[in-house]
Amino acid sequence: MFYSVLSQLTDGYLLLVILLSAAYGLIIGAIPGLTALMASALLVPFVIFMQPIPAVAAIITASAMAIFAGDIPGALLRMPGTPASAAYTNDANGMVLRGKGAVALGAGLIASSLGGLISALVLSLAAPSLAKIALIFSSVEYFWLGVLGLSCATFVSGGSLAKGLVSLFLGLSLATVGMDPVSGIPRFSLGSPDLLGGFGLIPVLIGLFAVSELLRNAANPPRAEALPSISGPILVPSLINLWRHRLGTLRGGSIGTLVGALPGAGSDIAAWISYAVARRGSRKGRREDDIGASERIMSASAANNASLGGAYIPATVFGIPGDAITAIVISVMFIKGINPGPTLFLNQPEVIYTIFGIFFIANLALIPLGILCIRGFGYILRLPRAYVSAVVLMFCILGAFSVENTLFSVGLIALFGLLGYVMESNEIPLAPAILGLILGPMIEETFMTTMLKSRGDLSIFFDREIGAVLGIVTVAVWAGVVLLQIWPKKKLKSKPIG
Amino acid sequence: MRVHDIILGPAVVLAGAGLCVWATALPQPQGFAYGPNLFPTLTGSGLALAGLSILFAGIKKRRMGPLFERPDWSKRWRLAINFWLIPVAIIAYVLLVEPLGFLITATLLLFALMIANRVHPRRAAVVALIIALAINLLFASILHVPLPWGPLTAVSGWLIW
Repeated sequence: MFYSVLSQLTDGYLLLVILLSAAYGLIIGAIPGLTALMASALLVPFVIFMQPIPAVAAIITASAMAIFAGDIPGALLRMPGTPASAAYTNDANGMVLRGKGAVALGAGLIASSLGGLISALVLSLAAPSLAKIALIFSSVEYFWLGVLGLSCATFVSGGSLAKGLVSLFLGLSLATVGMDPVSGIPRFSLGSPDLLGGFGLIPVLIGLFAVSELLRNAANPPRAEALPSISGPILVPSLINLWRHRLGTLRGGSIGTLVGALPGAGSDIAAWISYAVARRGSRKGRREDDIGASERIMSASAANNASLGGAYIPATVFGIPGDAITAIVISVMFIKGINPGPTLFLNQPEVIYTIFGIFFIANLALIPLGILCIRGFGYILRLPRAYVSAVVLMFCILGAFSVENTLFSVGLIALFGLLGYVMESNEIPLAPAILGLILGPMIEETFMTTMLKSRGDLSIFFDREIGAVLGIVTVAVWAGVVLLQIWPKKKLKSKPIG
Repeated sequence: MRVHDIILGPAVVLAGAGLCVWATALPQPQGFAYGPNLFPTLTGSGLALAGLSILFAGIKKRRMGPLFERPDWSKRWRLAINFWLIPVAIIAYVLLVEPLGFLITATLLLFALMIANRVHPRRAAVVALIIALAINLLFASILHVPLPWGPLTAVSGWLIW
């Protein structure tokens, strides 16, 4: 099998796809306001016509590159290219202003690459054994996993719990549109055949995340600013920095992998958590000089790239996405006839290991391509925004159309774009809604089939060993969160982050 | 567009309650303990409860902030046009692409978007046409997405290989 994986990985077509999607991901990520998620969603119409492996490779590569590239405008212009870079924008920008731009960006680059490699390693080691356990899962365990995932997604979304729950229940309600998974009775479809299959994931994603971002950019056009120049070597100082901050980078990579594996918690949350840990929990990270800034930048950049790999753990093992980008990958896999889940490890192990291998290639390729991107950032910034946003909108439209081949799905992106804009303006997080939409049908179906098996006896949800553990954990998480809400909050003395 | 929690809460409660009521109209299959209305009722109730909690939080801080905050962009007509042009362009695409075909629709929309972003009209027209042609070639010939051709159907053979 090793040779078949190796020969797949060295396939010229695959490497070309990786190279092209890397360039694409770097450019999209480096443009302020265009996110890694947007880069992945807009790739869908292209990858749908590829073989399954290159299709998945394109999204993995583009998202990893875009997450790093978001650091560049963050450092140079103080405008993070992706939300995942926001945690350390001030630190990186401060170093640029002190003439240490090459060091700051190099630190972020090398830490991103290492963070990605750590998560790829954890993914390759942990996923196969987890998949063995997952083979004995029944609908009870999947039900609890789904509920647990949604709960995490809501609780970590930040801000008000009630608003997180609004987003979650909105997503779950949207998921009930279309045919009921057990009886096949159409629900809320308004007699329209377009709604019988429910809301498609890709149009909703493009609407909520890409179109709403375009709306925000259109309403608040970013000002053009003078670009500070980056001079000096990047690679050598960053390798020295890597040695100096090895512990912080490793810690960031581990935190990122773990946070990424939680459903719903994506790269931005991973970066913020790792940043806070570095700031409060380490001697170096507390310092206000360049060493402190490098420690925080490296911890957080390792974490945001690691979270991408972490998210593939639940995605490949259980078929449950860890974030919106893996949700896209899972739907692309389904369209291409690969069904993610434990049986994939049994039936097509070479597919899974090739996908893991792509992680290693993409994160290694990040170093040379990232350096090129830092050097060429001036050119990317000079891309005229008037043309870029018009073309991105065109690709949003075509992306929605090419997956479902209906104009109805194109109309949906306008609707969900406005909805996403209004939700974000009112501090309602978007991620729980997307996970609700994705996991809703699975939760309903596993609940219904379990009920059919047990003839309506609810105790079956705590009868099986693993199921009972997952159930108790879920109930405990909810109890903990509700208690925290009711208990009078102690005023935590905490330094403001950032 | 920001609204105070005192308005947002009841709006969410209404949506949740509406969903619950709508769910009662769903047909109930024979012999099932739980029907297709179970989940919509649960999610509707969840929405309503979350809405209530937002309402209570809003009552506590009712003096903070205006009930309805107009976004800054709506006060400047150019930004307002930029904003609304995006949903309008998407709807226009849905309505026009069948009768006009992709090439003409895309050129018109790209042109409009660029003009709104202060690109010189002549330049915008040329760039819009080139981009639309390139996208059309890419999607029709390489990715095989069935884009409509409209009145250009007769000459579509020149552009697909």
